[in-house]
Amino acid sequence: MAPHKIVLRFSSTTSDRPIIYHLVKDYDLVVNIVKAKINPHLEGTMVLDLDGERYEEGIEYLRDQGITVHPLNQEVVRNNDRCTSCGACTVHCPAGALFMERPSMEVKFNGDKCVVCLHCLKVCPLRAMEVRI
Amino acid sequence: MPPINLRAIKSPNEGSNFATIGIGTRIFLGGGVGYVVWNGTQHFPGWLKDNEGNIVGSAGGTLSVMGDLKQMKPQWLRGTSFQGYGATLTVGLGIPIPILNEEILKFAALSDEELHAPVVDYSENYPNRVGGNLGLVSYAQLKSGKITVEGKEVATAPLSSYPKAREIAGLLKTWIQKGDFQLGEPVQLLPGPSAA
Repeated sequence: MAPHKIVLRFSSTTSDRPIIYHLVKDYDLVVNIVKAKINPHLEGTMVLDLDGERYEEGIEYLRDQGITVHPLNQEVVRNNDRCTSCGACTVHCPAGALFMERPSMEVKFNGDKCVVCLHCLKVCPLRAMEVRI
Repeated sequence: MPPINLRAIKSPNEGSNFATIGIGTRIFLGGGVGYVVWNGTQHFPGWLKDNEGNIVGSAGGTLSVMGDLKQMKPQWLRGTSFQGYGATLTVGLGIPIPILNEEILKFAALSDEELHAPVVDYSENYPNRVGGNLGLVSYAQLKSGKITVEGKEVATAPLSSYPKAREIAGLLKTWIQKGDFQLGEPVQLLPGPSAA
């Protein structure tokens, strides 16, 4: 089974705990940190690939710690009516999810590669990129 | 800087730039028909030169245009916001260029390898009013997705839509073929290289 892609959101009081250590040590989970923005005493987010037999227990542990857990699936979507394929987003997307097809120079969006960094939302001049909640 | 690989323009004749565009040129504007009024602000009708002083293309002209908003379509007239710049309009614009002679054909037929743009440092040089550029690159290099600037590979992306530009060219072509859109001679051509 493919690992679960999840988003963790930390509050200012939960961001300074060794969460990943406990997921690995106590629940024997395989962790791949796709993206993390954690600072002491500030709200933070982390995108994880998480896998293992005790996955559900691990999620329960995270929720007990006051960390909110959301699935990552298709969080960023493109409004195709708005997109003009201008291409401005393609140099900013760190995951290569937004890219130019050559030689047509059409902008394509591969949601599977998206790490939900949300850079495209600000960069898109037409506001064609949206977050689906 | 990569070597410039093009038919250098040997002796540019006066009026080589903007040989067909001037006041009254009928255009595609926002999905309707509009007209060229005159040049726009920051109109640089001179020639772009490489380090050896060879002409490698035109520096970059701009247009001021007018049109009837009621003819326009939302598809070709979009409110946009560029990070660090602000709110603006993104407008579908198409200028017909009648091929009246060999010289106009030569300019209109230039390929991506033969069209050049300067690389400008907007982070340091430009705000400090340091002139010059970091070299010239071709549109073919820009469209490849990466260029080399001072030995370092840099990612490139456009800001205007190439597929939409092709779509406009196709639309304008069908209008002209149907006879709905007539080409006319401008009353006066735009300021050319001598005005630079």
